Amino acid sequence: MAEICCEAAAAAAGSDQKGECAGSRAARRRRMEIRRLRVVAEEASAKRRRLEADEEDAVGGRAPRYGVTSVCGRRRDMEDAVTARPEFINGHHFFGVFDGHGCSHVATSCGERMHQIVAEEATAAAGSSVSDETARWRGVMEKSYARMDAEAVVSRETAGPAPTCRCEMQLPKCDHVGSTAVVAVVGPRHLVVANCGDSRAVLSSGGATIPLSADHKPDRPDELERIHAAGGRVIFWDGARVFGMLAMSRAIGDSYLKPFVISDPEVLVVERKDGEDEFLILASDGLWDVVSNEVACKVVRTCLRNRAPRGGRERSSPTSNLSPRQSSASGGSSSSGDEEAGGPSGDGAGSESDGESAEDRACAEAAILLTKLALARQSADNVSVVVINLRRRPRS
Amino acid sequence: MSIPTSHIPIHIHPPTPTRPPTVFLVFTFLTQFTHPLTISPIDHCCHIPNPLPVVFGVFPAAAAAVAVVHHTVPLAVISMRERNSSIDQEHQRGSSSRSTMPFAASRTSQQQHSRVATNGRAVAVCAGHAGVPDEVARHHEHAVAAGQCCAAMVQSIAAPVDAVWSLVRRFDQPQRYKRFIRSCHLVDGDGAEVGSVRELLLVSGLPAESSRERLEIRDDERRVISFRVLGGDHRLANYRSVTTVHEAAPSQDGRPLTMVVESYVVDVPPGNTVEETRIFVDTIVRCNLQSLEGTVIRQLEIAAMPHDDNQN
Repeated sequence: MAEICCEAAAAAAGSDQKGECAGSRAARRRRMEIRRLRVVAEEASAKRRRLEADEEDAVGGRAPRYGVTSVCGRRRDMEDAVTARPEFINGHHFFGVFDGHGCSHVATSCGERMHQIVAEEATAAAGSSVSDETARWRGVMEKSYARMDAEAVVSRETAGPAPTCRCEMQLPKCDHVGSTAVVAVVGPRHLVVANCGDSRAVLSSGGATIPLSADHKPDRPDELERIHAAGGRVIFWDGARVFGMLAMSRAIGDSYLKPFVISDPEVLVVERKDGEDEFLILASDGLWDVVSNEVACKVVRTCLRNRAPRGGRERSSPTSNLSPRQSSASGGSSSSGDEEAGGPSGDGAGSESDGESAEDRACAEAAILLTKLALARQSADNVSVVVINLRRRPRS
Repeated sequence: MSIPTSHIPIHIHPPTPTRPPTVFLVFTFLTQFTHPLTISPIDHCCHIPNPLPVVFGVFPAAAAAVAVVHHTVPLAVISMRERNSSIDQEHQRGSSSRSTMPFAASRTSQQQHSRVATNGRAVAVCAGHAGVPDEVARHHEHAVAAGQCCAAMVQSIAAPVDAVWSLVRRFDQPQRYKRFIRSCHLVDGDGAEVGSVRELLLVSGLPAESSRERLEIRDDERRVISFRVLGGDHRLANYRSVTTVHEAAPSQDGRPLTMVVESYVVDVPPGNTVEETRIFVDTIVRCNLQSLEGTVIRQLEIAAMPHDDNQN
């Protein structure tokens, strides 16, 4: 019934070398980052040398372990896109879920470009005089979403028809196509979550379930007020919809409903709490419509707990029946075409210790299990899930 | 920008043996409330504070419809050069379209009569003064029952009338200019003859999945096309649409100007108001008319650049 694609985390070093080529600009940026590392203070370089010498962490660095799934489910077409970019800027890791509607090319464009835009804006903001981390990241995200929204208007022309794009006729512009965008940047000290639309980010910390985003539904009181103030209307037509058409009040794209449907993200910057933060879940409404935040966190916690302590392959787990598919997916042999996980995980996993590899598979299993649960509960949409393990990798 | 709320007074006319049956017609317009990204359309918006009833008896209505048909002077149409057989087929199709109109009008009147006799409620507005150009107003007069709503929208396009009509007339390929259509398949007929039926699959994200529609009128002489929604996965029951394309007076610089009028009548779904239904349908119709303008302009621009082989 459902085609499932899953890929466990690739090592940061591996992803740098084997990830998709993002163009000469990205390559130049990486060289600049490498060059910058060489002139870092002696203490930092000493720490880096120690990291390099550490055999078990040699390929891991600080990148968090994560797992990704993205399935078509009961929809006719796959219009979701998922992005995972460990070390997309120094010490920071990018994760994004983009749930498209109307067609797939806006979500596909977000999947390909959002992390690049955020990296550019973050690099530019790093040199600014803004000392407040929260204000700086908020500005980065707001500028990035505005740029992504502007690019969405021409996304069909620049990217060329995506594999899943079915805009046959040469319309001037597909202004009825759009996408949600929930993005997380995991840094050494902060978690940054930016959201636009009705996908969602949920943090589990100290056993508590903490939503890091609020769905942009047209009947949310403040959104309803904003739309009416702009002269728009929210009509209940198979649910609350802007002009009876769109079931979310914010989105990338959807030009025909501007200025009522805007692309401004809501940004949340939280400090990381070592010892308390467990994991972060990003997912589309194909999951959240049928699975509550608490249930999702319980499922993930069970997966991570069962795998983390021993890491033995013989250990039974709630997803033991998924072993054959899991093994195949870990090898990076299958892909939905909309998923970008920074490169094949097989090579990266091969160089990791059994313990760490098992934990990466734990994230993948958690994501798969959430997807299975959503489909079992009759989710009628594409389902895309990212599970990010926030526990620091131990240094030996 | 606020949306003006249209208040339509409801007149109750209980049927009595001594009074002739009545038929009421409705037209309403809404002002533009979105900002098109392309050339700004010239809208003819009009609100009528004091609607006037238009009354026809059953038989007089049929007679009037026939009379109107007989007295209409066909507009001169310059068609592209076609083979004789194609021209003959076109002529036959045109005749077929014309011949169905009196019958359709008469049948509609009878249906309307039975509805009025049953519930005695209807809304009324003078269609002749509602902003629709006189020469095509007749095509946009819909019989409207209680629980239905009706509206018409006008779009001016700075392009020759034939370029616009060549897109509008394609019942088999509405996605060439309409938004929200994922695919279109003919399930009956050839798409050119009245009675053809198409099945539309719609894009995701909308409160509808599919729509099955029947071609009711296609008149290449008068540039009129009409379809009726037979079913599908949506909430717009008994939707009927009429679109007319005609030449407007050229602008001062002599460039051609075309007027497109699209009117519709539809049931108000349970749980929604007349206003909500009109806002929903108007959003779709307006989006499609603006897309039509953009598509025509783009086609003309491409045609004006013969060296751009990649685009053709």
